[in-house]
Amino acid sequence: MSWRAGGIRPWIVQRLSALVMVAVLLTFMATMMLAAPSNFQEWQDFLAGGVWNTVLIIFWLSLFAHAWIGMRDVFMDYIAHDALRFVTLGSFAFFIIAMIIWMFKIMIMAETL
Amino acid sequence: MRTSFQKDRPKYLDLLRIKLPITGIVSIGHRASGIFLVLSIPVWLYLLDMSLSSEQSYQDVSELTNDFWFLVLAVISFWALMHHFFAGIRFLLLDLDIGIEKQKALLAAKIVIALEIISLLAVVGWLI
Repeated sequence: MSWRAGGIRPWIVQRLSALVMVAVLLTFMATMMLAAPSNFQEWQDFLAGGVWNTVLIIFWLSLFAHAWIGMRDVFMDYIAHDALRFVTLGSFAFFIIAMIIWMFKIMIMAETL
Repeated sequence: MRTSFQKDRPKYLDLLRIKLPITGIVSIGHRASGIFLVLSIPVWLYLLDMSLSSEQSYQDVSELTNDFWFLVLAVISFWALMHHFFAGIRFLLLDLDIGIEKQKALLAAKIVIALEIISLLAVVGWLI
């Protein structure tokens, strides 16, 4: 198998990102059950700097990598028309990049409040 | 149009005649729930953004849990997440050759469905 696109690398990234998200989701849910922030100030403090700001950024980046590879596979499986597949993949890449920029804006804003 | 598909492959596209085994249902459900979850990313990013922007917008987001249609969206999204989560863990275990024999694979698929229904009922009960 090729180490480049379509080969074993996306396969590994898909599984590693899944494991990262499982770990973060379980830890996040446990934290919310034990000591959920109960108002605006506590919620802001929870996400401002510290461990959770970084952990959530890692979670989001894993999610975007996972979403990109998953949707790429879906498009490659179902869109046989070359030009249409190219345009769809390009549009989706644009969507993911926009989401990444938005995510960084939110997380960096949360850190500097 | 250039395609690498066979031209004479059999077509069994009568959806009423296709009968997937439960493992197949879990598999296509994993794909369908994944597509749904990707489409819902902007909604959750928007809510996260709102919840951190100001005291007022934080209140607005908290009060969404009183909104019927928001609850419907939340429950469907949670169902998609739970199916994707448990079916995904099953696929990770299959990578390790765990539950790969036919009987165990069928049992594992049933466990996935059972776990997602239990967690869905737990969340619906918690919301009501």
